[in-house]
Amino acid sequence: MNQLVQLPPRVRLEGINKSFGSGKQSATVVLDDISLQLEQGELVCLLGPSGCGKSTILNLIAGFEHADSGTVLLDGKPVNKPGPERGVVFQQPTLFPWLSVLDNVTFGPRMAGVKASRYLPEAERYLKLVGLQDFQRHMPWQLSGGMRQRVALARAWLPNPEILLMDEPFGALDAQTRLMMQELLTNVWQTTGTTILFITHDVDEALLLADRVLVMSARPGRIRAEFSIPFPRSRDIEALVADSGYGVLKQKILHIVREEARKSMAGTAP
Amino acid sequence: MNAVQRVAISTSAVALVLAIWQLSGSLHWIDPLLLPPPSEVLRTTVDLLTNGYRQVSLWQHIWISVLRASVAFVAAIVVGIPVGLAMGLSPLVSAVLEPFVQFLRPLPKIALIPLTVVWFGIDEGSKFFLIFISCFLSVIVSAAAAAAMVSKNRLRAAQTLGANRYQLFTRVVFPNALPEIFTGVRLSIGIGWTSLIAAELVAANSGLGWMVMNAGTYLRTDVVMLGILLLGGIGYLFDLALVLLQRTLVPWAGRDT
Amino acid sequence: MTIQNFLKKCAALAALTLGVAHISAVYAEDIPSEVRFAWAGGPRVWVLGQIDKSFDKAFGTNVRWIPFATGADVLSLFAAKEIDIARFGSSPAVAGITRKLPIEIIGIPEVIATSERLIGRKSKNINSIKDIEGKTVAYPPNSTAQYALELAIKVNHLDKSKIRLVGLKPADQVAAWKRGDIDAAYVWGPFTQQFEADGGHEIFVTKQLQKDGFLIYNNFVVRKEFADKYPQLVVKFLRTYQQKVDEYKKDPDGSAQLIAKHLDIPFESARSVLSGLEYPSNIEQLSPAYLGNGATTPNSGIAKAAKDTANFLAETGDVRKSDIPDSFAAAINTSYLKQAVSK
Repeated sequence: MNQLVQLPPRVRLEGINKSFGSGKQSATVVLDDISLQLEQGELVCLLGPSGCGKSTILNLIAGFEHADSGTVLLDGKPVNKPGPERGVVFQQPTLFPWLSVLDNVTFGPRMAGVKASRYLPEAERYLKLVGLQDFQRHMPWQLSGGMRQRVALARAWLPNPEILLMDEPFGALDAQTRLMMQELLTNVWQTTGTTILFITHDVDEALLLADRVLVMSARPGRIRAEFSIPFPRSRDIEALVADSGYGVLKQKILHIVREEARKSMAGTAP
Repeated sequence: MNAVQRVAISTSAVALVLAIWQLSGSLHWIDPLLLPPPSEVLRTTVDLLTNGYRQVSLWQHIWISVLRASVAFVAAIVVGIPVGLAMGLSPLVSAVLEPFVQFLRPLPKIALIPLTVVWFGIDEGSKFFLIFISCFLSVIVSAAAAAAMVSKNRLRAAQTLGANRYQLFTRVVFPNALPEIFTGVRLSIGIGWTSLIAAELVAANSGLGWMVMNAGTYLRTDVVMLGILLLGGIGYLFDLALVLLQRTLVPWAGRDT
Repeated sequence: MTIQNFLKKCAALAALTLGVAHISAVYAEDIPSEVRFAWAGGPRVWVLGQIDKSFDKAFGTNVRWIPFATGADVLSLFAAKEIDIARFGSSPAVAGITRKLPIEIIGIPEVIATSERLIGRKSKNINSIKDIEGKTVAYPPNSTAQYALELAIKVNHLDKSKIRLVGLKPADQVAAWKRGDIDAAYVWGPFTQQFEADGGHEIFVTKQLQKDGFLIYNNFVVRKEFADKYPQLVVKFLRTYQQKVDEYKKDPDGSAQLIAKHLDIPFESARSVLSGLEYPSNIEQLSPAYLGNGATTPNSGIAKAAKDTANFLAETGDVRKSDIPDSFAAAINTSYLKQAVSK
C-alpha cells in the first residue's frame, strides 16, 4: 500500500504582523506573529471574538490587505493581489444587482475572456449543486437572502479556486436557512475537495463543518488554540448533538472563546 | 391609501384650487390683470393655438424650447457623466475640479447672462451655454457622488473574480453608479429646464421662455400664465420620461442587494 | 374810524384770513411722504428739476427718481404701485392702458423727432432704410423705438420676414454691436451716439414718420389712485415742468451743459437728445392736435395716435385685439393741464 504522498500546504502564513494606525505610539497591533497553514482539501474554521483579526487574516490571504511583515504563500508563491484562485464569500452576498443569477455566477470566467461554451456547462453544474438551476434568469432582488448567498457561493466556486475564503457567510441568515446552507456547503465541498478557510464565531457551526478549528485570542491576535475535529463525515447535526464527545469538545472550545471574548470586552471597556 | 384613492384625492385638490382661482377672477377678489382666471387663460390658449404668438405658432414656440433644452441636456449628460465619474474615482481629478464646480454650481445662472452675451453673442450659442452649464454642473456632482459610493465589498468581490482595472470600472463601478446617476440626471434636467427662461432672455424671438418674458413686458399676464403652465407641464413630462427610462434601464434601483 | 384805518384793518383781516386759509389748505390736502417719478436715466428737460429740486419744492415733499430701462419696466412698476408719475413712451403706455392698468395720460411733454434713430453699420453697406432687409436689427422691447422701427418697415413696404428683429435692452445692444451680432439698432441717446462712434451712421429718424401721419411721443402718465388723492400735486407737477421747458428754451445749450454735467455724460450726447425732441407747451397740449380740452379729446390727435398704436400692436400680436378700447379718450385726463394753465 502506497503511503499518501505528503502534499505541500495549500496556504501558509508565517510570522505575520499587522498594525493599523500611523505613528509608533498609537498603532493598534491587530495580528501578532501569526503562523498557520492550511492543507489541501481541508476545511478549517477560524473562531474568535469580534475584532480579534480573523477577517484581517482572510483579507491577507485574499490579497485585499498587506501584512507589515511576514509571508503569505499560496502553493509556495507569495500572494499580493486578489484573484480567482482565492475565491471569497462575504457575509453579505454582494451580488451584482444588474446581472442575472447566471451572469453573476459566470462573472469570473467572463472577465477572463473564457468562451461561453466552456463556462456554461460548469455554471450549470454549480447552479445544480446549490439548487438554483431553475433560477438562472432571475434577478438578485427576486431572491431571498439564503438564495442570494447560494448564488454567491456558486459564483466564488465556479472559477475552481485553490482556496475558498468564507467570512461568516451564514451570519446574516436565519437559523433554519443557516443549517441548510451548512449542509449545502459540506455537500459541495465533498464533491470538489476545495480547501476552505471558514470564519465564524459560532462554535456549533465550527464543529459541524470543520476538520480543524483554530481559536484566536483577543487583540493583539494570536492563534491561541487548535483543535482537530474527530467526527466522521458526513456529519448529521442531530447525530452530532447526540454524540457525547460533542458536548465535551464544545465546552472546551467555548471556554476559550468566552475567555478571549471577555478579555476583548475588558480591553474595550470605557 | 391605495393608488385609486390617491389619484382621486390629488385630482380633487387640483380641482379645488382651480375653482378658487376661477372665482377669485370672476368675483374680482384679485385684479384679473394680476392673476388671470383659468377661463381667461383658456381663451388665450385658443387664441394662441389659432393665431400663434407674434406670428409664430404656439407649437413652434414649444418645439423650439424643447429642442434647445434637449440638445443642452444631452451634451451635459454625455460630457458630465464621465467627468463626474472621473472626479469620484480619482482624488487628483477631484482636487483639480472641485473648487470650480462648487463655486459655479450655486451661482444663479441669470448672473451669467451679461457674460454669455459677450462671449457667445445673441444666437443659439448663448442659450445653449446657459442651459448646458446649469445642467452640466449638477450632473457632475451626482456622478461623482455615485462613483464614490461603490461598496468596498462589491469591488473586492469583482477583484477576487479576476476583474482588471478597466473591467472594474466598466462592469462594476459604472453599473453600480447608474441608479444614482439617473437620479442626478433627473434633478439636473429639472434644473436645466428652469434655466430655459434665463437662456431665452438673451435676444430670443421664439420659445416658451421668451414668450413669457415678452408677454410680461406688455403686461399680458394671460399669456404669461399660459406660458408658466406649459413650462411646468413640459418639465413634468421630461421628468416622467426619465422615470420611465430609469425603470427600464435600471430596474434594480432601490431594490439593492 | 378813518378810511385808511378801515382799509388797514381790512388788509390785516384779509392777510390773516388768507394766512389761515393757506394753512388750512395745506392741512386739508395731506401730502405723501414722497412722490416717485419713473425716469429713463437719460438727458431730458425734467432732469433740470432733478438738479434744482424744483419739483420737491413745489410739492413740499421729497421726490424719489426711480430708473427704468424700457417702457415695459414702467408698466410693471405701475402694476406694483411702485411709482406715481412716469415719463415714458406712447406705445408702452398704450399697451398698459389696453391691459386696464389704472393709469391716465396727463400730458405730452415730448414728441419724438430725432431723439430716437436707426443707426446702421457702414461696413455692412446699410445706407438707407431699405438696406436693412437681410440684416439683423435690434430694438428695445415694448418701446417707442420698436414702434417706430415696425412702422418704418411697414411704411417703406419692406419685407419683415427678411429682417431679423432682435429685442435687446439698450445696454445689451451695445455689447451685441461690439460683438458684431447686430447690423443696426433703433434706439435713443446716448446709445445712438455710441454706435455712431463705432462704425455706425444714422439712416432713419422717427420724425420721418410724421409725414405719414404717425405721431410718436412721450407722455406723462400718472397712477389714478395717486392723482385722485393728490390732484393738486399733479397740477403743480405740470406747472413746474412747463417752467423747466421755458428755462430750457431760453438757453438750450446751457441747460444741456447742466444736464450733461449732472448725469456725467458727454455734452454732445445730452445736446443731441434734448434737441431731438419737440416740446409742445401745456397750452398747446390742450389743443385738438394733441390732447384736446376734454370736449375735443375724443377726436384729438393723441387719442387717434393712441388708437393707431394700439391697432398696430394688435397686428404684431403684442396686444389683444379684444382689449383695445373704442376710444382712448377715457384714459386721457386733461383736467390737471387745464388747472395748470389757468390762474
